[in-house]
Amino acid sequence: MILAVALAATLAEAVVRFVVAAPAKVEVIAETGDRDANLSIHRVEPKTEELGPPIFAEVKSEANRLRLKPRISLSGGAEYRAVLQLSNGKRIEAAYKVPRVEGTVPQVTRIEPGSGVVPANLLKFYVYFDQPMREGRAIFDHFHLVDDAGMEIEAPWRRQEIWDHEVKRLTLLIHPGRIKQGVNLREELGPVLKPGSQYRLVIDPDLRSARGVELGKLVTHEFATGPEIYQILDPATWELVVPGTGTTEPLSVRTDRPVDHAMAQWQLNVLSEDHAPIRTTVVVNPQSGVIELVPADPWREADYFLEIGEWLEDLAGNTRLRVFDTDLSQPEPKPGLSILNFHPETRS
Amino acid sequence: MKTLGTLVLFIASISPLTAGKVLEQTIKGAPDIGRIDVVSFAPENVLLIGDGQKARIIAVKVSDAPRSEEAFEPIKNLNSEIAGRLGVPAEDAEILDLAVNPESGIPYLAVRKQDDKTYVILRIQPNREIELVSLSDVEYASIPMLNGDGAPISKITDVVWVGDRLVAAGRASDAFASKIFAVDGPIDHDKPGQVYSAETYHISHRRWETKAPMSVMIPYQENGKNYIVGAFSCTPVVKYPIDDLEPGAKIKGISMIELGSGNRPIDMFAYDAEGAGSSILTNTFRFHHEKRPFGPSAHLAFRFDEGLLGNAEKVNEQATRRLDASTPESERIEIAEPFHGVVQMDRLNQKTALALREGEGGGLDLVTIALP
Repeated sequence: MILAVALAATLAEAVVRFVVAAPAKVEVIAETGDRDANLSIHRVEPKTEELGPPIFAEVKSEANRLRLKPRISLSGGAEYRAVLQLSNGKRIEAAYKVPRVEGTVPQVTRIEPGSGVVPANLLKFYVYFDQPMREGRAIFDHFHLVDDAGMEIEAPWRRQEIWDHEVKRLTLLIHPGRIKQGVNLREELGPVLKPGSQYRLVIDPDLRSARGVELGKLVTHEFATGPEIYQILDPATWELVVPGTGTTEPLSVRTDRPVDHAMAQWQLNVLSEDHAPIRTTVVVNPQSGVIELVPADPWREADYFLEIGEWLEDLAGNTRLRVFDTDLSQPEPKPGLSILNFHPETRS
Repeated sequence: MKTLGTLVLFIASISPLTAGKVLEQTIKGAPDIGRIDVVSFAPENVLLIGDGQKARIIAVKVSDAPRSEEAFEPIKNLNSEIAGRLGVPAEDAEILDLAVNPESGIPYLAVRKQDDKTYVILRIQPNREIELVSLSDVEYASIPMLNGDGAPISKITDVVWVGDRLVAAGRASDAFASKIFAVDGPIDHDKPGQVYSAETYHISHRRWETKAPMSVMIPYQENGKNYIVGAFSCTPVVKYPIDDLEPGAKIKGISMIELGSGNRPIDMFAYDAEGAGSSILTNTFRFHHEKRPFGPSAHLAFRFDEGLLGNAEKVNEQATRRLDASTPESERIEIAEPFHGVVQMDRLNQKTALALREGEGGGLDLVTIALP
């Protein structure tokens, strides 16, 4: 005999009820004197109404009572069934449906590098979302590169998930084996991008947020490719537009080519004349590529240094120390400058 | 002692897992874990958890029953079974990694519950019982993986116990960079390790690489010296000397084997095949399987003689290749056909692997497979 009702169920021998502390946090109490009774909780498969296997739970036996606490938080929108199996063969069930937490439709808020011309040996895209997204090995199947003839580029990605800590930014690496010259993967499949072409990065509408809500629409990001870049970053060629003394104007850095906007956040640092770090906010203008370092406090009448970290890359992965597609059996190129000095301008 | 070539003598062996005490200063409680990237085992029932979000390795003492001779029962659609035990549909539970405790032969799984990004550790008894491993009150040591040169670590790609120390490989989310961390054992809670850059000759690329992050690694000994053997995408197998390293040093890897382009290694372990010497098995995901398949699945495995790692005459550009054009260059490297479709694996004992293999309907079956 099975009795199933919402939240609580009663037989002559026993009562089973859910105690809801929070939507996804429940306990199940079974009032029974049957010391051999077994209490469990299961997810109900929506299509078939069948019960899944018992969910991991802790069951404590008290006087004439069993108390079950799931060891896993329950999922919004799912129905669960508590089952008390009595030693006389009778079975009693109580049901609980967790209120659905309606997630908002996720949005792609930004793609870097932005629309424009990128080197054909572009190393990566950053795709920003407005909320945490669903991780998983299949994520790469939702991102496509399509050429100007409408043909999808085969296997463009290095299929290793790289998310930021909030799972709101995905780094899509174009497979280095198809970027590097003379590499067998590139020879077999060709480069992912060719110079002088138009491409689209296309994101499928069924890409889901962590809450399971789909994008709901195709997202398309158009860009063009220019020549490949095989030179180290050389800050000696950069132009600094110095701020005014006593102001919080930004130090503007005009680089000879766009740099990786995410790495600029932690690889460009301002130091005082005694090499103490100066707090700044780094903003990379998506259109011009100009980098602005905005100080927290006004600039003083003093010398400052802009320190360029060894990891800072251009869009093709070249740093001031190495070309991404490097051959260490050859003499290394002379490293680019690591420090640029500047002196805020005194204005009358 | 083995002899290889004419003049080259070497002694090579996979580091015994019994060497070196693992834990010293530990604390009791619930470790703060942000995300589980990988799991592995050190000796003495110590589970190693790589947490890229917190940039830490957490070493947890687990209590397993002694190794049983009971045969391991296969489980069909293990992913569905696990999802059910977590109260979610199959698509909402992702098995991230598998590691067998060498002391007990019990497999541990790292699993992510997708809807709320909860990470759990499960273990499976030989009788198929799936258990949720409680981490709420355990003896553990949590070790920070300091970034040294400022590149923030976002992912631990593998962690391994090598003789008397812990070694981990990691990468930064922005920088495509290979970092190796090492902490001398026994481990003290909160004691940071040293960070090293790694440089490798990439055979397929015919170039030196500093940036390709290592995907998998295992301990290895040769002439009494400790190494780690690692593999990267496209797929060089490289050994790195790890004795007598200065803090911040660059570790120069020696490329020994090239398994072929288009492969991303997933797991690797060594074993002693009866009468056939020591072997190493690595499974990979072949990302251009559709264009150039090596079997029925994009997941396949390669077996090679461990002795190839000690051949000092065939390194870097002269490294042993699995294929010379399209024909095998060496009979000492082969595709392990019973492992087609294996997405995760570890050594159960010297004769058997425990594996998660693609099953019907997209499910993953837990199976035992005789080692080649």
